[in-house]
Amino acid sequence: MTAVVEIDGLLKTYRRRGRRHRALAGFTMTVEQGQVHGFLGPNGSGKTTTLRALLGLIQADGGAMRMFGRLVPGALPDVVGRVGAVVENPRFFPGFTGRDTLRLLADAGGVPPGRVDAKLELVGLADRARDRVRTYSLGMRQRLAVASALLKDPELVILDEPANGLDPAGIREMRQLMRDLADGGTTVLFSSHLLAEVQQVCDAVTIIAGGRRVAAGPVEDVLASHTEDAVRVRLAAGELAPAAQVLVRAGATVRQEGGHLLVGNVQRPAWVTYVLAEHGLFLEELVPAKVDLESVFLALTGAGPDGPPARAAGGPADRRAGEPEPGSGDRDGDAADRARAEVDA
Amino acid sequence: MRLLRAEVRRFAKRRLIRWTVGVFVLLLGLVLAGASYQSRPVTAAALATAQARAGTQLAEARAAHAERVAPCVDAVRQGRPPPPEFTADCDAAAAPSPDWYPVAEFLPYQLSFRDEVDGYLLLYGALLALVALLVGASFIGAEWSSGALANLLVWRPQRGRVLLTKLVVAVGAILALGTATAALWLGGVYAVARFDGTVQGTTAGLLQSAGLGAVRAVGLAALVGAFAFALASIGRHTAAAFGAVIGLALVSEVGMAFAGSVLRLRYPGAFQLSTYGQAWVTRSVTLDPVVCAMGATCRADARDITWLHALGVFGAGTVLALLVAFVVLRRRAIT
Ligand SMILES: Nc1ncnc2c1ncn2[C@@H]1O[C@H](COP(=O)(O)OP(=O)(O)O)[C@@H](O)[C@H]1O
Ligand SMILES: [Mg+2]
Repeated sequence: MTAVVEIDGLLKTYRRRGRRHRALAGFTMTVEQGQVHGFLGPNGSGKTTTLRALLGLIQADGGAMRMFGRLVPGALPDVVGRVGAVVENPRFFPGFTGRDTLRLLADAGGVPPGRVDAKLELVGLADRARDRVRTYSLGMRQRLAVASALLKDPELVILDEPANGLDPAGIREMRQLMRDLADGGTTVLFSSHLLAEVQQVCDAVTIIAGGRRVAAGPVEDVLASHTEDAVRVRLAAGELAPAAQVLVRAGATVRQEGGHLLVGNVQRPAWVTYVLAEHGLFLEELVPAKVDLESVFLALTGAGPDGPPARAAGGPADRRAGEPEPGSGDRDGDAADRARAEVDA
Repeated sequence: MRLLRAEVRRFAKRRLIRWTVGVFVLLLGLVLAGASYQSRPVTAAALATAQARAGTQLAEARAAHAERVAPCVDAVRQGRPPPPEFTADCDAAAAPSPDWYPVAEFLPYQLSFRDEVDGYLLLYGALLALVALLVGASFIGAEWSSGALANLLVWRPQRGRVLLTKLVVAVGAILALGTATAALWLGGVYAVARFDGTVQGTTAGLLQSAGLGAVRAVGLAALVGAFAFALASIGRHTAAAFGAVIGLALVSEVGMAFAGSVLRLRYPGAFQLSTYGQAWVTRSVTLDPVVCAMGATCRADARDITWLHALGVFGAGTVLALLVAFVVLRRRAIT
């Protein structure tokens, strides 16, 4: 496997209203060729900052970055022909049509103009291609941005929050598109603060929080290394409280969730059965707690729309995420909830 | 090369630019049409009519004068002193003379190429400069404010090159527009004069000087366009260029006039951009020392501001603004 993107010890400090704000504190990431690589982190964790630095839009304060083995931003003009990228909310000149926008980019990059319509078709924008960008919804601008990133038939596609503004069907299409790209040999690096959309499509993930990498690797490895030794236990309603007491006294961690107990720090499920039976408590159901990327993510980043950070099992969970941007946290949280609900549905 | 072609296409696609150029050309056409409508060539018949009308009016005025001074004339003839309301020679000085009623005033308006070409060039130069300001500023300003430039810079991560290409396209377009319309404009004014007015006295020297005037007008527009481009790029907004230009005009005209009087500058006009604009158009402006205007003894130390001085001032200002624009872009965080 060869690395397409290598980022090492990236540092970036913004000056904001006279105060210094550290957005990246030695961030490190490697993206292997042919992967769909999810770049995950809560709002304000430094994803966009990383991608901006990688693409030469801002200057990092330290660290090294390579694309296709070449040091960037220095070699950016040489490698940019192999990279298609969209950073932050895609913004286009509002007075041009989607088609004109892409044609001008194609012109500037020496891409055959015939490819424009094919890419518009690919992102499902063909029938609005002759309307002005001014009239596009956020989701449509997002699609246009993806089309522009694909225009060069790049070896590496970088998408910043590509699911933003998309409806559930759009998110599914976007996932399929990324999968198809990777199957065709293109490396896809995309950032997201929504987990559900990622787990199904990613080969590997890098999780960022507070400007630092907190986990990285193939999805299964990340899941495995953060699997809690937890089981879900169901008992008769009146026995939940005494059972919890018993288990805690025996050294487990217990959290009540509806009609269940989530029991952690358990080596073998049989141990739970044994301890409870000793006290005359008999369980009705016992299943291993399912671990998904979402809970790992919430544990690692210590930030989520669902309340206080969960305790991580073994992960560096004490690290707080970067402060959420004032006023935006709620909105993003809602969006995250909604999107997750949509995807689950 | 590819970038250049793309930018030329982008330029031509911009609606504001199309509208501005359209309105500009329309305005020029309207002015010429108006001149053509108003101007009448002087025919022999028209001249005869005018001469007759001038003669009639002179005769009428003389008659009225004679009637008014009649009591005085009578008195003098009879050896009496003239009545007090008259002078000794019975207001002879007030007697109407033919030059009070020049024939020209009784002729319909006739555009004279020789006399009016400078005024028409001035109007053209002012309009073109305005177009250049708008085009130069909005071409880059709207790209910044819409975020489209950030996109392009991801696509082509060569900031200096991208900005330079856009500058070349904007200035090139202004030069092309100026060259085409200046030729049409001079030709139009000449044609109107030729068919609806007079081209009498149009010498080769006059034509050459008019041509040079047109070249200077186009050159000034190119400088204005580049200056506005630089300002809009520094401020990342079209309006930034307009604001800066208005601010500059205020400082130069109002501020310097005030500072000139406070600091007792000898030639306050030398610090005002309008002086250089005028010098650019009329080739030279003569500034008298302030003390002359106040009636003190005035030595012959007037100072000339020539169009070359103007070129120096405008050129230096534009080059400086462009340098700043490029340096700022090189270090700018694009977010
Ligand atoms: N231009 C900027 N000036 C000051 N602070 C910024 C700027 N851009 C981002 N930040 C801050 O840097 C941190 C990381 O932001 P960002 O990279 O946009 O996060 P993400 O894309 O992961 O949501 C945030 O705290 C954000 O407020
Ligand atoms: Mg972001």
